[in-house]
Amino acid sequence: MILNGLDYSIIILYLVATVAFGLYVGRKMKNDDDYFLAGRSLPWWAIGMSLVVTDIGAVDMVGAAGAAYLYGIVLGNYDWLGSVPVMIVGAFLFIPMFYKVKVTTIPEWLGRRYNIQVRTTSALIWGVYMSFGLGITLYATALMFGFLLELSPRAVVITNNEEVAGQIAMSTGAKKTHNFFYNETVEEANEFIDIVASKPLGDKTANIVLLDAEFANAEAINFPEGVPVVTFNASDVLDAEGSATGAKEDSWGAQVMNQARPPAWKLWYSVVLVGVLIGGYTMLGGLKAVVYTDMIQCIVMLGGALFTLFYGIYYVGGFSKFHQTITDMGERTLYHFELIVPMDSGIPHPWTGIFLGLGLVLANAYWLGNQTIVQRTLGARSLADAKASYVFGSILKVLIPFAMIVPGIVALAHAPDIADADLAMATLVRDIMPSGFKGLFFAAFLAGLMSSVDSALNSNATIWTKDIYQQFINKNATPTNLLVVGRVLTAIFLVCAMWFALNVNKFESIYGLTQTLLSVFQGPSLAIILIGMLWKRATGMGALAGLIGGVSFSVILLQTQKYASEDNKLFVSDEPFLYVAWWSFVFAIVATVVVSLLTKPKTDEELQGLVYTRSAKKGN
Amino acid sequence: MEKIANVISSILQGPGKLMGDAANDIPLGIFGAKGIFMAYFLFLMYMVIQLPRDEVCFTNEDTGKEVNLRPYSIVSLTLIIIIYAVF
Repeated sequence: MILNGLDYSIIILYLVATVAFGLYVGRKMKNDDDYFLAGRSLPWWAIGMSLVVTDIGAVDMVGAAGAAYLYGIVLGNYDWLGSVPVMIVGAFLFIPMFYKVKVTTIPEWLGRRYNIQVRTTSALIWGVYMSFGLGITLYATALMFGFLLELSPRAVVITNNEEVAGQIAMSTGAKKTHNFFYNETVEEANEFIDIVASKPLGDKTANIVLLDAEFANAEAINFPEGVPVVTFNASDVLDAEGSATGAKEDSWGAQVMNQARPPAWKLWYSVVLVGVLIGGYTMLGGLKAVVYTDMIQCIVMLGGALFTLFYGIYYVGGFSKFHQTITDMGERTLYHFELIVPMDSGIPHPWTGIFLGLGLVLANAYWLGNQTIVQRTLGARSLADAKASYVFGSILKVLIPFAMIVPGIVALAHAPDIADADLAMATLVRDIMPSGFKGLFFAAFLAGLMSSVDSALNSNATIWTKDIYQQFINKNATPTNLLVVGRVLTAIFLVCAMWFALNVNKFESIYGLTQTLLSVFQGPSLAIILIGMLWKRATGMGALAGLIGGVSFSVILLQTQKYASEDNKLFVSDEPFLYVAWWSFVFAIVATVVVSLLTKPKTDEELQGLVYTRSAKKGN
Repeated sequence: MEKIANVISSILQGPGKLMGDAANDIPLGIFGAKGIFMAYFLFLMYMVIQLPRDEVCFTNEDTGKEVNLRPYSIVSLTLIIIIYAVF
């Protein structure tokens, strides 16, 4: 995406305005309630917009459009089924349960409903997950930042062999660490070198050129000065049959990228820039600053993405032409306009997994049991505002797939041969957007990333302050003391996340772990919340058994899937997280019920306002 | 590790296959699946309609007027039903 001065002006204006606004609204913090719950003063419309934008990260903006490019509108299920229905149910049945007992965190509610052990276990799971997750979110967004502005290292591959280019893209880690450009002809290569030479930011040229030894007329290429040129043979990455050579190609790719000239714009610039901008207002202004800046981010993000959609459809010839172009692609786009796809479609989002795993478990776990989400409704100025925020959010959520998913399909109509689907949205914006609007789209992208990072940062500090520090380190902490601890922890988590983001390649196993952790504990977490709210016979021991047993069962399922031989896999899908969520949810329910029936329940007085019964509903 | 994984996989595949076969025996095509989604949304719509008035109505603190959340919830669910009917 090549931006000009007007685009950069819009981006800078957006950043300055957001940060200044965040600092302004969050300037009067007196105690922990102000900091973690915005003094319970938030109106429904601000929370509603904040809920929607928090759910969409910068990576989602790029990844969802990329997945839609490949699989079509089926990705819309993640909002239409995965958000709207549960937000309506949550508004009237579950959010009031949390709000009425005046808790600050979900683990705190679990502690009141069950016992301190369940509270602490849940807090530790969420706290550890969010601590690592923050670093990864920061890393992923900083990478994406570099890609969209084309500030990351650039590897230019010059070959006549498309297969070779594809394998080199894989083996050098293209799209994970650097931008990748494939040039098939001398003209293309020279044209590309001219384009990168005119870039306003970052390197003036490529960081490395990879030249196929068999490329014809290589002497006619204007190789950029001072840039390493590595000549390779097809056999470096392909075997005799023309297939990828596996481990060998990976080590070759790593060696090659080590020879690249260091980029002028380094990853840590992005990490520090993003971290300082977001950290500043989050640390000083707490939840209030987060929610009100989210509001701006929601408007910018939805505006930018919807403009991209409408302009994109106009650009490809109107809606009829767009629809016709996609359906004319035959087998490749057979299900591109189908929300419900059969199990044998080859698409990794079949309706069974979508309905059971997403619709019944992950969606509920996210909207009813995720601290980052629920915390803003706990900061509502009244119960009515808390309910209205979820209803308002559900209406906004109807729009999200049109803004985030459909542009991926428009990108397919515009450019059907993009090698990396994750670049679908960026390609669409780069090719069609007029000057100034590219800046608007990039501001929308920044809005997505800022809303995810600030929310996670604030919620993480909340859990560690309220559920760990106040419970085990300083039980008599004053409200002012908790405010200071919250701010200090926000700063510490931010610095740790920045450090983790810069060293993420040293922690591959942790990176992988946090990616799957969410699907591991969301099912069991939801199970104990639902049972706790709906069944007064559920006990603390039962919930602990359900939580620990369910998480263990998820781990067993994932490890079995990973290590079982190819002909003995547990799930057909390579990414069975929807099914893992469902079965761990079922397991946790069974474990909770069985152990609860064997242990002594709390009395009705102790459960007052914590269990959903007809009398509780009327009485509260 | 692979041996242990294979043993666990074989054990869990038993009930899994049983349930999978049972599910496959139900004559449920894409239209049937769509029916399940629709039934779910309609059930939620029914639930919203049945909610007592004091659960869905409140006075707006800014304007002092009474606001009823039920129509907005119904609009949201209706939009989803239309979307699933179309796609």
